[in-house]
Amino acid sequence: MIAIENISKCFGKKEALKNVTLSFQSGICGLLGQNGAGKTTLMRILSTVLDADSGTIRLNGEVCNKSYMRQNIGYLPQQFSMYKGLNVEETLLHISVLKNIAHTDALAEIDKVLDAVNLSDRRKSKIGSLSGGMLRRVGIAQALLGNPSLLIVDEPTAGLDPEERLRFRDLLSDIGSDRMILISTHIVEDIEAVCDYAGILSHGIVLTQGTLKDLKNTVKGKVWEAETENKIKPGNHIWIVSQKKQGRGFLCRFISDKEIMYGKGVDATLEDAYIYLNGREHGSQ
Amino acid sequence: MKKLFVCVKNDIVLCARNGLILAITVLSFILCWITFFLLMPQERVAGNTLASSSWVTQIFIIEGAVFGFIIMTFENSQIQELFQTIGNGLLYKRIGKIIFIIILSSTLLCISSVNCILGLKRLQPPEIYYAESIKYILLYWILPFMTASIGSVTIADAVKGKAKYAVMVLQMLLFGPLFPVVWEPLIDVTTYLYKYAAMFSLGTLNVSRPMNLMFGYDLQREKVLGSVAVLLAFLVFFLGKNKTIWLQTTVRITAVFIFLYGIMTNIQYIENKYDYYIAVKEYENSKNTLVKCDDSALSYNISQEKISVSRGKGLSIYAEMTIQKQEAGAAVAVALYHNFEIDELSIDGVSAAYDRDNDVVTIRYDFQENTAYQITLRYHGKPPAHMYIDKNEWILPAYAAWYPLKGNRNGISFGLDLFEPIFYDYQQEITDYEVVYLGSGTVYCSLDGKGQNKWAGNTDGITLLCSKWMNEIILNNGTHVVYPVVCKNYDKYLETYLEKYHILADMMNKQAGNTKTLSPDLKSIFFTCDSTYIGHGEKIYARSDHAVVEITRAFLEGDMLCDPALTIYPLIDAMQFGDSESALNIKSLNLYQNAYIAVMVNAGKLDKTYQARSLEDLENLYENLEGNKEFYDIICSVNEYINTSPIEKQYKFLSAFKDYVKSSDDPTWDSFSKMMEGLK
Repeated sequence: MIAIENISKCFGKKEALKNVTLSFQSGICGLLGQNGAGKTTLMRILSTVLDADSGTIRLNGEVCNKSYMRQNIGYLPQQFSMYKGLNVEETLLHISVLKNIAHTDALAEIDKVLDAVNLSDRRKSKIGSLSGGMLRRVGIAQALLGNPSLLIVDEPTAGLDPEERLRFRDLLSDIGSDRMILISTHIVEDIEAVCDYAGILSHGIVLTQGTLKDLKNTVKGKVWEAETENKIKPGNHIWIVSQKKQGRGFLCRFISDKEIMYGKGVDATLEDAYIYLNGREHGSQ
Repeated sequence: MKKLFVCVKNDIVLCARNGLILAITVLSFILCWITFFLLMPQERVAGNTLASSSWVTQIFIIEGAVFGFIIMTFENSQIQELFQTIGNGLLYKRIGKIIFIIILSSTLLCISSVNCILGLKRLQPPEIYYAESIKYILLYWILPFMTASIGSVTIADAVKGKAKYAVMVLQMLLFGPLFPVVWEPLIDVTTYLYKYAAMFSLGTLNVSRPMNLMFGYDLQREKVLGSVAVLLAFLVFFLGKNKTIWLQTTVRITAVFIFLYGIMTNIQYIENKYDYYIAVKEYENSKNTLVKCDDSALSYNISQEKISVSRGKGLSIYAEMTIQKQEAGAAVAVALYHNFEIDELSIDGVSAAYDRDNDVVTIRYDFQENTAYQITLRYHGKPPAHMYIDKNEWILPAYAAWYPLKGNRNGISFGLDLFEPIFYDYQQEITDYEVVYLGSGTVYCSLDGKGQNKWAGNTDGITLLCSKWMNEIILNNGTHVVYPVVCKNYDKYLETYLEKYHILADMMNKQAGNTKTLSPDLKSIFFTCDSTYIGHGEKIYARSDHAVVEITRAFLEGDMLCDPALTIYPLIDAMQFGDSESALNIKSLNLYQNAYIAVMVNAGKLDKTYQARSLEDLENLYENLEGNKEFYDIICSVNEYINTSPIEKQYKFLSAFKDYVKSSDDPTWDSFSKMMEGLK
């Protein structure tokens, strides 16, 4: 279990995080937010790259200092990179030593993590020769070394092609079965595909958190679809989700706090909840 | 330790797999190889060796800087971010990089040292050169390489974006020894900057020993200190990154102070050298002038002089003169090399006023007739540049006015580029001297030893030399000889040399009248190696009891000691200079030397082995040299006159020509004809 309590961080005059409080129990947890919401700042604080200005972090009930966190986390940064001149095995051995894993154990563990990320056949490949998806998998492999209780993964699917993205989601689902993973992303599908639990962050503030079902429930009965001749203009208490061209008109999906006379109610998705909560908080429609 | 080992090992693996780094390593090896096996044995002339050695230093700095940047390109900010989350991964990586640079530098040191030792084996120099050469490699090649590498690693870590490349170039400019020379052709400056660059790059040349055969110049402590400080600043800055704010600020402020200290030390070093150079150049304009003073200012004898030399601000010297004033007057004039700053001057214990005009100190006091006074001077400073390397390596020859001499003439500087004022203290009588040296190091003196670093004697000049690069022997006839360790077989030939010296000096004294600069009875001889930078040739500077013999590299072998170029030619020079109050014209002097030897051979006083070059050879030399037609005619005329005249007329000619040579102007046919007319 990880509990983030009243974390604040400023960069100069800009407040990146404002008293952020979140707690996740177990499994795969998502942190959703648009670009600039403060997700990466929070991830970097959790992974000890940055120091928070205030607030505390508890991992499994223990208040964490840097050393404790570093012993218990695996981290995959948003842009993962490694020495291009080393091969996969050399890279992982290097990190094993830094993680205090004994040499004999390290070789076995490398076998295990490479197997987990399905890269056993590329152990002698140079890092520079790997594709973006493979490199990301090496990133996961290095994060798994030392069997950390918490895996922090920042924007894991950014920049991957659809196929790689699907494969990577599967990988996260597999390894999330026996450890806690915290994923930050702005891609709603990623959260929907792999997470059990999520929080929504916007402009440094936590809008909500809960199970995916809880989040969807926030817009239950408020999501509508309507066929219109023209595009709907956002108005008071109306948030547009999508407007697809259909025949001569448009199929509009929107959220409204008030009952709508001309549309039909549809099932809410996580994306609907995300748009609704963001729009409600910041007045955007 | 294991973590560090892995970090270092991975850096080594990454470097081994990097083409550019491999190219740099191969280039370093080739440079060493070229320097030790191609340049050194063939270009043993100091000037050329200097240039090649300093270029190697420059290239090592550039290599170090580029190398530092390359090893940082292995590791971008994303990798650093990741390592930051793994224990103290980033700190281990940083320390690992520094260890890697040290290992690489040590490897370079080993390769260079082995090359150096193999190169030296071929040249077979004295043992002292091995240790000194390796010390040189460490301080002037490896230390700059390390400084540049760690500097680049720090800059690449601290400065983001393309600005780091500008900082890197600036760093190389600051610490590269040759950057002024590189820019010189572009900004078309005068030779001043070139000299400045040479001094900045290479420091002072050492006249008290033959320059290191391999490198040609001496270690400059200030320069090394500056480099070490900058290196330390980079290290502190680099290791202080990503610490807590207050610790980081403290570390960075400390690093900035250390860096500034290093830079200031460097700048101060350069400024001192440059100021000194400019001062010497300005002095050149005033050399050899008489400073006006009352006649009575020179009517005194120095009966006794006690000198104490110690170290501090160059050299600190205390001189206590007892003078006997013959006429009453308001002043006494003494010569003291201008770069010595007087701290205290007193007469009979009372502080006295004085004026200073370059090398002449005019002491103001109400002097009474036939009265003895005790004049005390306390001063400090450095003798001419090439006579002082550091506190352990210097020479104070009698002709450099390093202690107060009687006289009112500024020193004479000969040749094109000499920084060496020579004081032919014609007015200095034989005096009782007592000399004490209070510093450390091995010191030799021309006076008789009276205990540890104490000497005394009755003479007209003292030479003091401090160096570990000298051999000292006492010949069978009791002559004390000090010569550079690089000279080979001198012990076998010195007695023959002295024999020739005595015969020649005796002959010249009889032929030319007794000159103080040709003593036939030397108690001691100091051989010093010249420097081609200063441009000396073979010279003999003699006093009544000792001589300083300046040799070039051609005379490092003992059998060359008896060559005319080291016996009769410099003695003729000394005879001529001894009678002259100004710089002589080199062309005239050259002709006079050859004419003198021809006459002496004709007179049967010398055999032909003394004639290194006949007048016919000189004729042939100038026959086809453009712009020398007038001088060629003069040579032909001299040759014809000597070959066709009886020996008495030849002597007469020599006597007249000796006076003619005293002009510093180029000889002209008109003036020469007038001199020849006089002979008729």
